Amino acid sequence: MTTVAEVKKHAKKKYKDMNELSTAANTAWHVILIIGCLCCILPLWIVISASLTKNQALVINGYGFWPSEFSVDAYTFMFTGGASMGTAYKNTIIATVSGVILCTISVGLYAYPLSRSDFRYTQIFTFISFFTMLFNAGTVASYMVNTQILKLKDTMWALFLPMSFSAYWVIVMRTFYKSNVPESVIESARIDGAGEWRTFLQIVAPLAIPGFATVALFAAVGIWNNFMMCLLLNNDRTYWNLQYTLYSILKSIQFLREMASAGSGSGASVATTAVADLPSESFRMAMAVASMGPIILAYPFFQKFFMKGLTIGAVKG
Amino acid sequence: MSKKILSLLLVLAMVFVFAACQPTTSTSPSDDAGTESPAAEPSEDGEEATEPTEPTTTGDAYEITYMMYSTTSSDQDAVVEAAINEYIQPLINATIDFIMIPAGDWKEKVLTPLQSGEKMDIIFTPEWVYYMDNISKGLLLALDDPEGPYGDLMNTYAPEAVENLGAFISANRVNGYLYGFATKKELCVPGGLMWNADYVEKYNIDITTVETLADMEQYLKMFVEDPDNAGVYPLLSTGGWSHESPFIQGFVSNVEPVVMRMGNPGEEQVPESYWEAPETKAFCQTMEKFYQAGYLHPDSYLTSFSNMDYLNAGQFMVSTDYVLKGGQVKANELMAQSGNSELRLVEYQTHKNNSSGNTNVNVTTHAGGSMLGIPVTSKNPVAAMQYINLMHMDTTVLNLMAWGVEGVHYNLTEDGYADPIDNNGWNNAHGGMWTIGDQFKQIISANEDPAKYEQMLALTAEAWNHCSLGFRFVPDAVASQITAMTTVSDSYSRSMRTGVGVTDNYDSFVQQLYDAGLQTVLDAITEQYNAWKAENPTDPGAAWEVSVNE
Amino acid sequence: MTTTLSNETKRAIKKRKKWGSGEVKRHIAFFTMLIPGLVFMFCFNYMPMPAIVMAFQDYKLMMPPADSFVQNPFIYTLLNNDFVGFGNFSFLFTSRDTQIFLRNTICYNLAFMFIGLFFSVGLAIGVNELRQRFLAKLYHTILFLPYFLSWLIVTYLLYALICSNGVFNKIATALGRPTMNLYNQTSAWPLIFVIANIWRYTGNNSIIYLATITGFDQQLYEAAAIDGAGKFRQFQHITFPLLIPTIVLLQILAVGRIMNGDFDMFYCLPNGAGAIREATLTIDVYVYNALKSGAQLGYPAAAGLFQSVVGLIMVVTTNAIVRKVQPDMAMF
Repeated sequence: MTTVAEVKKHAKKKYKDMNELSTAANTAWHVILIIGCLCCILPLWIVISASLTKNQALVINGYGFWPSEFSVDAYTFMFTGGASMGTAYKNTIIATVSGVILCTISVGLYAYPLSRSDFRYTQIFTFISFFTMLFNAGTVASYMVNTQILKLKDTMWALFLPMSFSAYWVIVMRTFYKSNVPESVIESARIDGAGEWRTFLQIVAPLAIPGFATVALFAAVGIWNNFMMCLLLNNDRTYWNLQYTLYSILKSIQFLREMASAGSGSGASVATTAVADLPSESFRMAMAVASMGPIILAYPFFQKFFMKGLTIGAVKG
Repeated sequence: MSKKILSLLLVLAMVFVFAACQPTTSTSPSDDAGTESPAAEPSEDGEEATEPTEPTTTGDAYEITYMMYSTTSSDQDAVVEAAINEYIQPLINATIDFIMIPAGDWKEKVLTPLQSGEKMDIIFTPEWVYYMDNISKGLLLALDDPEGPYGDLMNTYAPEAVENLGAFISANRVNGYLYGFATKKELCVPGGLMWNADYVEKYNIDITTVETLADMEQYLKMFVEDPDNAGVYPLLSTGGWSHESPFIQGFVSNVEPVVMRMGNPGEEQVPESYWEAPETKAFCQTMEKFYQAGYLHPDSYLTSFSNMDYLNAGQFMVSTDYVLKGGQVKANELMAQSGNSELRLVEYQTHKNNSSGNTNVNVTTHAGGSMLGIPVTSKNPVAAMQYINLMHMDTTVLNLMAWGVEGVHYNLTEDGYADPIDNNGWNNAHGGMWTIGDQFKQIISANEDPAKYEQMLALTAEAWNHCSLGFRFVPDAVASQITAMTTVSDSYSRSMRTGVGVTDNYDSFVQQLYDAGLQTVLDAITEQYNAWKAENPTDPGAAWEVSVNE
Repeated sequence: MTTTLSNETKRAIKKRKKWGSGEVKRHIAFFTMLIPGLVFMFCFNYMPMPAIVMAFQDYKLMMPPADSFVQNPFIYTLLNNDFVGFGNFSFLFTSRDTQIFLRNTICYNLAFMFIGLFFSVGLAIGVNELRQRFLAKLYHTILFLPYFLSWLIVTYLLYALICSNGVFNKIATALGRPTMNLYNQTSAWPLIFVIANIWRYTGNNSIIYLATITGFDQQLYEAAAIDGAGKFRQFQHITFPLLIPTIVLLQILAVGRIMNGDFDMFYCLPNGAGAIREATLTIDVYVYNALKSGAQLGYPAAAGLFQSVVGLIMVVTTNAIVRKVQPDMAMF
């Protein structure tokens, strides 16, 4: 292992010396990227600032870089508004981790034979998976299958199983194998007498780590952000994920407000709530912050696998 | 060549999937039955379906699945269910299971499952939550069809409630049958203006003289010229004009561009095009003038502009957006909800919508404002109907549903008012008192005007029936035109009514409506209306029958 | 070199009808690898697929009678409903808006595809080349962030920027320029959509390119550097050619969604402003309105099928062209 590290270090150093960006070009890229980053971080800053502004002030004064009237109402409401954020975070994390593992394995495995030129049925199996990207049967049919045949209603499974395979990533992964795993490597493994599974696990998989990391990242983001499945399938609050929990708090705020202003409607029950205290807009912003936080913290973990730094060349060599 | 093989394989795969899918799914209901509902063996189903059984017979209690229109989901439903079940099981040999569906999720959580055939016994299906859709999609049982599989449910199992509801029943029939059982509540919702009392006093406005936009112009001008009011816009509007609109509300739900005039008691009216009426255009043009004069917030026409926030902050002088409830009921409600102790509102019911001055009109939309239906997927509609009957006739069930369990969710004050316990998780979680049974039989909350029901009933007492009360349009034949039209009117409607780009776009907007098929839709509505009218002649000037609670 | 070789092998394999002993074993291994994916697709994609017939039906729920063989109401309904032929498609094609929403959907998608490609590849290369690795990672993380802001949040941000007393107008006033109301300017919206799309997705889309570039054999670059090739020539002769298969593939996939749109973006961002609908109406917005006005299930099913079939035709055509030019890059 030490040798690998040494080789890596050495390779990196050598590479750096010989082939790095000229200072002018380097600076130019910095400038461009900093401008891009400002475009991304300023709106985010506005979102955070808005989430810490009193709702009424937000409505009247608009958004700004600094809260015009500081308040943590939105966050207080989030954690005391009835729905359990603890359960929501727990469910989301379990679902994301399970889904990422399932997705990476199933996509990684499915894509591999398709990338091999000596697999006879590449076209058919590529098409089978590609077909699912274009055609879908609609919500009602999926709902029927998910609840009546697969029995996913009100379970943890509903939060990740339906999202645990993606034809899109199969096709991307297949290309990744093709362009990043030289056929000569596989050929030599075969000559050594290794079986397909062994070749895949010991030689191909390590080379495909950036690809796996990409699939895993996107699966994680997809499952983390998904609320449609939870909306359709889970009525039981013990199986709500984060996005849906937040969404449902927001919806209940909006509902109370709408009912209060609607013509027919508001009855005694609503009259006992001070609608103006319901932070609809600042809550929306707080919601974005709360749901972004953890997944962004996880990002660097994935990032190190698909960004140069851990030099793949060294592993290969 | 390879393409052909490929497509062949594809077809084969589809056939295989279809075949494979069939047996699995056709056996699955019996699987379901074993695990989920006790009375769902296919054979038992059949028996239930063919002969309406007397529900009080012995056997396992049937569980009624009640899809409850709610503000939010709650963990208190089990507590309330237990209390209700204990009470109703001896009465109807059934238990209730509330599934609290947050209002915004209704479509996904109720209609999608329902269309896939999931068992449900009671759903909320008012006029504005897909009543007509659900009927035309065949999702609801007719409640008064003697030829139906379960007989005339409502007259067999809820005769008294039917009588008590009166025209709430007759106004909600579609093609001769009733599909939704209404909540008894206020029926006429008059238009008017909501004033900010602070400014009314400051500028010494006699609000009883302000009936129209034209009347208020001088005050708006005075307001914006006052330097104290910098940054505040006097007219709060997202396009509502109930105070002077000559049309009734929601003549045909989902088809905004076709309306009917309110007219006077006993008069006949015909469907007409909303945007071509001179009054509509004049209103939009006045709003444009006001918009340009800076009387309205410049973002009034955008979706993210919320009038509630400005109302709650008291940052307005007069609003056209609120429909009233009689007396000062609406103003009091809005003040209580605003969370702003300094806010003082005063409402004024206008009278210029028609020449008679009586604008308390009963229309179809309000009769169907809150209804419960029994879906076709119910396995025991009789029990469902009996439960609905209890919600109207039995105050124990009614108050349990409305307020929860006494001592747990609310306390009863000495004078018999309900005092909800803070964060009790029930009376703020369900959809509202007006979604439950007979509102006038519910206990009033301790912080409300004790005379609330009297004020609401007084308003109803002087109301008259519009000639279209009970008419409902079945849109199936012109659905594609309605879609095309909805896209157009969705885009322009609010902008026009808040006075944005009226001069530039109004005529092109009307033209686009015609291109989308307005004439076809108008003709179809007129035809259906005339056919309906022939069968339901207007009872001239019929006053609203009100049966006050015993 | 590997490419031509593999093609020959492929062709040779195709011609050879007999299976070699090693080949059978290899295929058994391959099939076991396919199993998890196939199970997932069968359960979640293919099992509901027959319900596509809804597009040709007047879907009305029917309850199966007790003696029916099929007891599932949904399947019973699909089997027994009336077929209406292509009637459900009429709402898409009989409207005056048809032309507008087809044009908008296609043009926006093409714009997003090409402009997006430029930015994503550019970002991937820039981040990959930067000397300061820590900063490169930081930049990329930041550029990835907008992906997590839903379109609804973006709608509020945009509103804060361009509303009547928003940032842009405040700047305009400060500079003594007349204020403008972008919510009423049709011509501004194509640009707004493109910018919003690029802004939200570039960081995200660049990840695939970044992962691919990271995987390239560094020795190639070193050799090129020794030969005196500068960064631009390295890009021209190494990075770009190696990246082409991925680019082509992603574009083929994008072409398949040419009729689909980012519904939330087109529906939310205009904030209900009416006068600009010429620029904001896309097929998904139109279908959404159909649903809102109470269309039966056959309508969205028909629209979905139309989008899928167009996508399929586009992909198969593009794929055929790619196959002609460079067989190894074709998707199938």
